[in-house]
Amino acid sequence: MLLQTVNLIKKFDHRVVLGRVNINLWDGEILSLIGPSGSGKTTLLKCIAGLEPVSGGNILVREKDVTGQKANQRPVVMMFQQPLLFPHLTVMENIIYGLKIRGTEKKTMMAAGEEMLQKIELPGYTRRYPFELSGGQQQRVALARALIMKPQILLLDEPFASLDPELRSSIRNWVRRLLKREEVAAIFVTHDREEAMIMGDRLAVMIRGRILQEGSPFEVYKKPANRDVAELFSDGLVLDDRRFVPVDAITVSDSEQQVNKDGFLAFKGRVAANWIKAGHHMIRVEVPELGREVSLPASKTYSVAEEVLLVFPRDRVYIFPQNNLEMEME
Amino acid sequence: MRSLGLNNHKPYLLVLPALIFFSLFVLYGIGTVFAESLNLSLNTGSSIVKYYIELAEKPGFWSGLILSLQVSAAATLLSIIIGVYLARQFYRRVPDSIWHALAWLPMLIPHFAAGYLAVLLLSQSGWFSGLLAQVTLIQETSRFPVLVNDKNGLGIIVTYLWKEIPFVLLMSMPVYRRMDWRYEDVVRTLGGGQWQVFKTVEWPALLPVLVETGIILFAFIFSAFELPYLLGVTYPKMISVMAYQWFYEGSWSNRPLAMALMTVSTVMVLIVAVVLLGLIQGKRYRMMRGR
Amino acid sequence: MFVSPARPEQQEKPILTNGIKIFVLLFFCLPFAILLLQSFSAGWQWPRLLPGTFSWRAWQSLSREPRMIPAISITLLIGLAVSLINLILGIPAGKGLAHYRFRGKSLVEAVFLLPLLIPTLAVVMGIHIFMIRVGLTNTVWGVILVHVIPTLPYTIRIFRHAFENLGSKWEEQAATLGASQLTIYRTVWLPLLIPSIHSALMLSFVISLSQYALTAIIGGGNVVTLAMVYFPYFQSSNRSVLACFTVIFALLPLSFYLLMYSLYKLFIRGPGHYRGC
Repeated sequence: MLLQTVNLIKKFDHRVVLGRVNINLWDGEILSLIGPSGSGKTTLLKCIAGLEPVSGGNILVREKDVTGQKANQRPVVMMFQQPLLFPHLTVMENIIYGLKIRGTEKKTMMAAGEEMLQKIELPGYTRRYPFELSGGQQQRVALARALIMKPQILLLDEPFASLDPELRSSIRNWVRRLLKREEVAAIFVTHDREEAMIMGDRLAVMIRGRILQEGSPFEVYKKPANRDVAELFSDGLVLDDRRFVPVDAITVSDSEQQVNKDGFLAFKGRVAANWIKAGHHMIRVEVPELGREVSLPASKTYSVAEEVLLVFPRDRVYIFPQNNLEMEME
Repeated sequence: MRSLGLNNHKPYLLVLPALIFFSLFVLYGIGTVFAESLNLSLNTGSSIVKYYIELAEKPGFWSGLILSLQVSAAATLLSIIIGVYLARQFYRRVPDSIWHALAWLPMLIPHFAAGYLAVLLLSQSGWFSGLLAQVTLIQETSRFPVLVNDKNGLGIIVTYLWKEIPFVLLMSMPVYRRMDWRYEDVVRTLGGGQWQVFKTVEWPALLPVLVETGIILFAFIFSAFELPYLLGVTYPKMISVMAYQWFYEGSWSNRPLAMALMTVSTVMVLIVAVVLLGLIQGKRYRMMRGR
Repeated sequence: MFVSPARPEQQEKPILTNGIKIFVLLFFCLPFAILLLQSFSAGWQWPRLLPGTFSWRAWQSLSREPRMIPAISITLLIGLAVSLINLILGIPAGKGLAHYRFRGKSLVEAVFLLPLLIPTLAVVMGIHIFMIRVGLTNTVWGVILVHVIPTLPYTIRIFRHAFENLGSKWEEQAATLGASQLTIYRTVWLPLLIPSIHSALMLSFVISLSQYALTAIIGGGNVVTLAMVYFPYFQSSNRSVLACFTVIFALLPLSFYLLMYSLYKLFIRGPGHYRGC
């Protein structure tokens, strides 16, 4: 195993930000870490990178305890939300910054730098200054600056958050390919479901400073461990703390007929919004009885405020393996 | 910054009073000094730079000039080094403002009053000399090194440090407060230690302010009269004291010499200023400001 | 999630932290303590670290100096006038540089910086004849004017930064609400600028207090400020009397500060009143 955190605890004053976090990372793997804002994702990365001291627990790299090591001694490099290129250094000087600190010989350094510029598809930008680059180009240079260190572990903290949506989707495929080609193991933090699925070989869900579920993205999507994970990562209707209906089991109906059939459940709802996504009509339905909303595809157009029925077979109701209450007590 | 039309008169009205004041006094003043330093009586074929030649031949001029340069350069550099170190440590370790206020105390008193503190503490019969005697390092006052009214201007330098380190703090603390500390994480994750953090994150942000501070300090110390007059020696004499005495204490015949000397020191300060400003005119620092 | 640029974490190494504090105490504060002790000492034998006996003798003998009270009054008067002229010239200039772009701006900036570069001693020598002609030598007004030269560049700098930090949004808001230029100055800028006015006044006052050469040349010995009395004392041998005199130099800025503070408490509502905006 490449990286392992063992019961990692982080407190700010007396507020627990990370509560006994255990995550694993294998060689060459990309782990997506998804969670809502303020769930402790960035703090976890900073602890692993050595930028924040931990309040308890251990961090192991290849079974070796690095908890006491400073950031600059760890074989871990972190990349941030913003590119944070040094504004007074050229693109090349930014890229080889870490090698220079390490004392690499100048020739080797420049060659590695040029090679990196090729890889990030910015050849000829050697002498440019960061302000001359677009946001996406800057973030690519920041990635090069991290990759050139050949870190055993790369930590990416929502690196595309500052980019506009279109650029985001093209750059993330590109980054994934680059990481795979370089065979770098990475933890990729995001709060975007799609991004987490695309980027990660494996997925971990973090909420309120705890890892609630780990697994392949599709597994987590289809079998959320509890209500919180379902609400964050799956599409469907959460019935209560124990039960959930995936969106593909629900049909939208405007008559009462189906309801009376055996083995079906139905909830009344009101259309709150409608739009088209990827060629499908979508509606968002409020379900007053549950106090929840759900987005789902519709076979025809509905107008806002129209009353509808959400119908699903009883045997498609999914029961969470974990109970949220038990989690909180732990 | 408001993008008003260029022909709008309002900004001119705002800066005009101060501009008139400075033109009337400073520009006119320095112009007159330069004019009076030249020998414009065109009889008997004497050189137009007669007073400069006379100045160069004056005993004490060269040693005084060198002393002035030494004292100003040393006091400026040391103030900046110690001041920045203190600002950094204040920002990182001693955030309580009571300590900052204590360090600013010296700004409250005039330079010449600070000169008296130097006498009290650093003279041969001063408090530090007494302290050394108490720990039996010296037995009599004459064994204590001459730090006040000494030939090398050590007392003057120390007193300027005491007065100017707080000034450097005043100028550099806001830079620390505005600094983007996320860059520190970048340096550390890329393998840098404290020194690299200073070099890559703090120094580029500090440099423009330090250049400005350095120029102000050097110009001030190079031409200030009060401290060198009180804590200096008769020979070598710092040039500001020399000029003051030629201008004010002696006969009027020495005035052109004083004017020539003042012209020389103005030119030297301007040269130092231009050289230092050149340091931050490079592309990288324009980038910093454009950020 | 947005991570705000925070203060870097405190490092462990309490020795260094304490070292910094000790340095501040020894280097910046100790001299003041020794000065106070000296002013109350009657005979302080080397190498004792504390005076043997304390007395008011030095203070009494300084109070018998006849030039003392007039010198303090004239010094305060000059300092006050210099500070006010600084505000009158410095606030508009600072605003002009901060909020406007105009042709010749960099030239104006250069002229405003020049007094910090060109020796004031040179400037005063240059204008001496002119001052004699217009009858300003040997007068308080002449001294006030030359004291403005070394102070105004700092004042302009202070207000320029203040206006840059405040931006022009307040003024625009007030203007859309129908306030006149004068009302805007009185109700918007003045309260917001209080901290900067404070610093500018203190700095101008202390710099004015510190002038000897300028006062001597333009005042010609007729305008006797405290500095003019102090210099001859410096050569006198009585350390305790000179210590008292030096203490007065430290007390004057403090009392000036208190004076200004109570003045603007009387006339202007403090910034606390506006903290809500």
